[in-house]
Amino acid sequence: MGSTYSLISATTLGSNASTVALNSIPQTYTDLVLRFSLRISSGNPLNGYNLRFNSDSSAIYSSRFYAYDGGLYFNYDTGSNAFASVVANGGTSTAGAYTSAELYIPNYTNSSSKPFIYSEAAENNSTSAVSKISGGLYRNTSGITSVNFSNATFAAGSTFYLYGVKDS
Amino acid sequence: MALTYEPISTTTLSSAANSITFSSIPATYTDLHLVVTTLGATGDYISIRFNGDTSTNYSWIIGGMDNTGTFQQKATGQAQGRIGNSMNSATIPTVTRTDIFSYAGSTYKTVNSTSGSDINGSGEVRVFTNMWRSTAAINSILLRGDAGANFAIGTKATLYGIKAA
Repeated sequence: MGSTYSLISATTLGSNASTVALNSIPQTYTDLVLRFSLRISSGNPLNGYNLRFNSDSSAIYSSRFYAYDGGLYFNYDTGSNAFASVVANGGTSTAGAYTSAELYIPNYTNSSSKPFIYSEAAENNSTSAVSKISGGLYRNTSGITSVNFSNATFAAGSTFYLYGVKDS
Repeated sequence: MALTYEPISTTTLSSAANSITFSSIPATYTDLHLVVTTLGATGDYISIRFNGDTSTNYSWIIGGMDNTGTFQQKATGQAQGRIGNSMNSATIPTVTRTDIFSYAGSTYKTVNSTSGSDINGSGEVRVFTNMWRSTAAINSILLRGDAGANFAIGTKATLYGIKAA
């Protein structure tokens, strides 16, 4: 029986980039798993960015998260134009600190809205650190063919590993 | 290259059902990984039982958030574990990922699970940690609504085996 977690693409930023696009995702798997290590080159110890599917900026993203940054907190959004409840180590965070994150999208090719689970850990050896889990929804019935990062300058050394998972 | 994640079995419901069962789980892997997308609008948790054990050998602790704020819950001496959020919608799935480490070993079994559901205006995201106080290898898994509610049509569960080498 074949292995199920198959590497679709591996991307490492050799220099800072204003966008990262994981394109041409084959529609031959059951689920998608994106594991990435991310740093943003400018700004605060923690910086937000946008994550979209299929370069879609329609107001069809929603999510809710549960986080700890020294205190427990939560939030949610509805009708957003991106999955924006995400942060990463920023330019003034501890040197060499990258945020570890995983995005799991089950049944990414089906003709229904796409729920997903996201987790991130941005440690910084300081008070500016966060651990977060999110449940989200992308209300588009098309298959996911790309994952797109934007609204920040992503630092050299950031890595993105996209896997396809087959259930048989 | 050694095979790592191997699908053991997948069930997709073509009609509503009270439970999903994985039987005859081989003892040849290191860990188990379960991915479940549940449908149903009954507000019932996703529960788990191993090897048909209905004795009060389960305990769990849950943290997360729901529509009203942060959420925490723990229980001991239960007749089943809890691994996933309430079933919130008949059309938008709740996503649950569950890891069962050393499932064939001779120690008590720890189960870690993350579950998220968002239906654009309500939902929940939670982390669940369970213990099944049995030293037996896990050879079957039953998923059910915690209070007996049905899983709706389209609910899907896939069990993977993971080998360390």
